[in-house]
Amino acid sequence: MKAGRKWRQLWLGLVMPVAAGLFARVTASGQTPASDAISREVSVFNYGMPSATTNAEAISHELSVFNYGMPSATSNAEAISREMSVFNFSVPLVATNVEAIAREVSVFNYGLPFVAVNTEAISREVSVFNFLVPSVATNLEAVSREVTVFNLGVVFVVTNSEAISRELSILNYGVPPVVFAIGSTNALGDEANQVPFALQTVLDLTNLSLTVQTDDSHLHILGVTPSSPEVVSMVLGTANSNGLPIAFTFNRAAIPTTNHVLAWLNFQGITNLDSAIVPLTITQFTATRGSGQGVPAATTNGQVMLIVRQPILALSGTPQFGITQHGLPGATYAIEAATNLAMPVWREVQRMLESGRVLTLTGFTNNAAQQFYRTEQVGP
Amino acid sequence: MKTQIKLHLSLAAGLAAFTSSLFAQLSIPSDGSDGALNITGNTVIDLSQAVTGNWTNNNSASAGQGIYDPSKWAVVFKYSSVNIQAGALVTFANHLTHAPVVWLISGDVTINGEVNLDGHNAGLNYTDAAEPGPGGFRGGTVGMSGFGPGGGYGGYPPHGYFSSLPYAYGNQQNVPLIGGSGDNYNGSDGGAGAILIAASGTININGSVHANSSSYYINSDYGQYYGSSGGAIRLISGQLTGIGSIAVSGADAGRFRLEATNAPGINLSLPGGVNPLTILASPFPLTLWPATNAPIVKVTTILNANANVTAPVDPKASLGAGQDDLAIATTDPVTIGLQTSNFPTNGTVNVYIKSLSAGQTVLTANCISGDSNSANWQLVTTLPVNHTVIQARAVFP
Repeated sequence: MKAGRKWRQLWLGLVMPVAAGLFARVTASGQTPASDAISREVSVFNYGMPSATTNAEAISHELSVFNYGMPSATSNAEAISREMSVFNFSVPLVATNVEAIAREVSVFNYGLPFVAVNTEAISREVSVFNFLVPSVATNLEAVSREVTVFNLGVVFVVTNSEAISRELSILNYGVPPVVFAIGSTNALGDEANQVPFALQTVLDLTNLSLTVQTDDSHLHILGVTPSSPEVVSMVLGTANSNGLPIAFTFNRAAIPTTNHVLAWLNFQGITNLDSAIVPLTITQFTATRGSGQGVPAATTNGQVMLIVRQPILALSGTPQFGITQHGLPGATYAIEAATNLAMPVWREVQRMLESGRVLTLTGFTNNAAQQFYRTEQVGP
Repeated sequence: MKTQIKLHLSLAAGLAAFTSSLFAQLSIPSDGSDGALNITGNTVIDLSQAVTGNWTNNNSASAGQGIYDPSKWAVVFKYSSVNIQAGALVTFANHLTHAPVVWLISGDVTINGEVNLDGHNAGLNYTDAAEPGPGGFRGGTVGMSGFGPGGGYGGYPPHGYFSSLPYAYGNQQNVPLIGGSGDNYNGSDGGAGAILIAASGTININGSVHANSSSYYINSDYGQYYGSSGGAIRLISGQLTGIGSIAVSGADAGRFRLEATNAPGINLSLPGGVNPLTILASPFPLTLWPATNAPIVKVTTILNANANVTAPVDPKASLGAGQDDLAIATTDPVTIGLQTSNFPTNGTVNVYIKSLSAGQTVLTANCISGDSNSANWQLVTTLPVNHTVIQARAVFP
């Protein structure tokens, strides 16, 4: 208690002067008698009950607390420090009067130090959506990507069928502009002979070609001899089963416009067979103009009356019912006639001397619907 | 009419611009082996110098001369670019077959000058058929009708038809490419030619491209048209621009067609009166040639006892001395044989016979065998003793 009294006196001793100064303006208004000793006014502030509290109370600063829900029930203490910024001045300040003022450091005390005994790692977050139905599809389906289509309206839709041909030009000469003929003749035995190739045209031919077919067993073709100035060159091909190919190249400016002999076909008879009418047939005839145009032609085949031993009768047509006889010169022949060949009754109608190689028989008159003739050598 | 065209154009151009990004880039099949065509002055392109072959061949060895492809009946140039300067005029000397012109360009085309495919005129003192523009048909000589499926006069019809009834032929797609028909009225008038210009890049026309009749006029008293017909112009490009002009005029108008993926600011002066108008269309799918299953008709043979000739694969229809495709010598009737492919046998095959000494005769052939894939047709007639040109047109229905 003494101690408490002393404390109050001291407290008053300290407080009173201060209080006199503090409250002088409030209290300095009293009057005092002369004999009196009147103390200075002392203001006293009564605080009432001394601040001796039996119930201690302290109110802390506000503290924000985030409730993480379940406490981190862990037996291991964990502490995470607050971020701390550090500025490095690099060169230390050297001063004679050492004074150092620490930078302010904010410290957040999480309380328990971060002392972890067990290592822990936390994975990145992964979002998971539960589709519930597992991706087991029983039906197959595919959906294509979208494709944009713009229709400009006019399209290639042709509803009508139409075709137009190329133009084709044709020149119709009316009559053949080229006339070509192989001559005819007769030949005795194995003598060499020739027939002409006759040509007539007014066109600018540059090429003419043909193939001559004949009876190789009776006639042997020896060659072709050009005889007209338009022939620049001539090529004899190789004779084969189709005949003998012959090709002429012309100087179109030198072609006579009249019918003329272009060339001669040379041949020789073969005598180990009977007499025969040997054809000289034209095939594969072409005549070409300077432009390359092929032109139509009229062609006439030739023949060779090859007399080995037997005579040959042939219709001449001129005069009517005319007959030509090809035989051996100097021989005498009897001409006989019959009206049928089934049961023929031959009768001699003429007997004539073959003065040349060809004898023309005239004066026959047919008395039946048909009449047949034959000839027979009767001398010498 | 012009206003309508411009409205049409602006709409189409807008649509095309809007949709250009939707399309793949246009790729014209050109290897550029004919080089770059740079025209600075008046120039005649001689189509007769073209090498005969497949148009897809590399033409570096004959660069600039083009390739004549008989199977396409076209002289094809594969340029890397085309530039025709202002004031320069490009004309053509015909190929022997009178085939049309095709320019395939891997790059851009700029036409500030003039491309002329007009037909020619022989005037009154003529003995030879007036030449057409490339791809067109000749005018007739004295007493002879104009050539081509719509060829006129020498009697009737009065002018060379192309796009109007009753003798209209071809189609608005201009596939196959074909020009105008000739005429023979107060002179021989060749039909206008035909050209396809297809560029992977831009076609910019500030000059002119025209395939006009050599001459034509209107008889106002009777409302009749005289003269040859206009030709065909087809443009295909990735981008089409310009303020130039295109013309296909004639007694009967020709055809033109513009195809582009994009046409910004286009303001071409285009012909009116063309039936049908084909202003702007998509070039996709790209169609340069007739499809493999397109109808075909050919004149194949002339036969009788004295005549037995087969038409060449690539006829030229020349009328010069010794230049005819075929020569016969007969005054008897002949059988004209024809062949169709991809054409119905109940269709109509008309045969136009135009002789130098007479007008035009049109006869209908009869199908004698085959089916729509391939069929044989024939007709019997007497051909005059003179030069005659035969052409067939198969049409269904």
